[in-house]
Amino acid sequence: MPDLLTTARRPKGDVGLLIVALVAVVAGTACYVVKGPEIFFSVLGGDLTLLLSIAPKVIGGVLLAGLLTVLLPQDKVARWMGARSGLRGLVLAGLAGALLPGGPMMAFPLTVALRGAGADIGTTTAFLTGWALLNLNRTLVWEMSFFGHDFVFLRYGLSLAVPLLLGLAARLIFAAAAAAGKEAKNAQSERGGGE
Amino acid sequence: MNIVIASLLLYGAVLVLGRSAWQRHDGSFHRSLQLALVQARLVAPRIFCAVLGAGFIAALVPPEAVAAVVGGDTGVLGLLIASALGAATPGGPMLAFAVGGAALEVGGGTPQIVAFVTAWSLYNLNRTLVWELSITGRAATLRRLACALPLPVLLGFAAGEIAGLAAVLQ
Repeated sequence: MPDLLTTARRPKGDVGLLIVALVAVVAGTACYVVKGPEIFFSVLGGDLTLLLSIAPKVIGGVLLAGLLTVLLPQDKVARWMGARSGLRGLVLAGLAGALLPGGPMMAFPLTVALRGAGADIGTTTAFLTGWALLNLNRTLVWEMSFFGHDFVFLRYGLSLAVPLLLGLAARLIFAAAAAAGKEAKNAQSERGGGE
Repeated sequence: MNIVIASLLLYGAVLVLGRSAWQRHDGSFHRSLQLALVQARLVAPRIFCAVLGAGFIAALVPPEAVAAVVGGDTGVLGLLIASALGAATPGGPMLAFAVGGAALEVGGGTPQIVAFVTAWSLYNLNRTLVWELSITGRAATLRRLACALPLPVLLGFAAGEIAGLAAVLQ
C-alpha cells in the first residue's frame, strides 16, 4: 500500500495554486482600477467575512478526510467490489465514491487498484461518478459554503441515481470490448501494478 | 441556516469516526491528524485566493452579462455553454463552487448552474488531463467520458423541470 502522506502531495500542486493566486491578484487589481477603491474594499470585506464563515468547515473537512483515509483502507474497498458484483457492486461502488475523502490523488489511484482487483468498467465508472457528483466531504465543506441548501439538495438529489445509471450504461456499452480485452488488461495490470 | 446543518453533520461525522479511530489504539488517530494537517496546508492558500478572486470577478462582471450567457431564460444553449464553462474551469472545488455561487447570485439560472457544477464535477479538463488520463489510462478515461458527456445538460434540464413544477404547485 502506498504511503498516503507522500502520495497526497500533488506533483503539480504549486502550478494550480499559482494560477488561482494570479487570477485573484489580476481580478483584484482590475477591480481596484475599474471600480475604484470603495468597491474594492467592500468586496474585500465581503470575501474576508465569507472566508471566516468557511474556516470551521475547512478544519472539519480536513479532519474528516484524514479520518476516512485511515479508516477506509484502499485494499478493503477494492475487495468489496468484485467484477461479478452485479447491481449491488455498482451501488456499493457509487457509495464508496461518495464517502471517499480527498481529491483526484486518492480517487484515480483507487480505481486502478479496483481494476487490478477485478472490478469491471461498470464498477469503476460508478465509483468515479459517485466520487465526482456525490462526494459528501466536498458537498458538506465546499458546496454548502457557496450555495444555499435548496440548490445543493436539488443538485444532489438529481445526481443520486447517476452513478448506478452510468455504471450500467458503461457495462452495456463496453461489456463486449471489456470481455475481449480482458486477457490483455490482466497482463497489463500485473505489469503496471507497482506504478 | 444551511451552515448550521452542514456543520452539525460534519462535526458529528468527525466525532464518530474520530472515536473509532482512537479506539483502535494503533496510531490511526495520530495518522489521520497528520493527513488532515497535510491537506490543510495544501488547501488553505487555495481557498484564500479562490474566494478573493471569485469575489473580485463577480464584482467586475456585470450581472446582465451573466444573465445573458447562463441566465434562467437561456434554455438549452445556456445549459450547453454552462457545461462547457464547467468543463473548462480549472482548480479545486473552492474555485468552481465560488464561481458558481457568485454566478447564481448575479443572474445565473439554477438549471444552468446545476449544469455548470455537474460538468465541472464529472469532467473538468484540468483534472481529467492531469490526473485521470495519466493514472487510469486513455481507454478508461475515454469510456468514462463517453458515458458522462450528456449528463450536465440532462441534470440541468431536470433541475429546470423540477423548479418549474415547484413554482406551479405553490
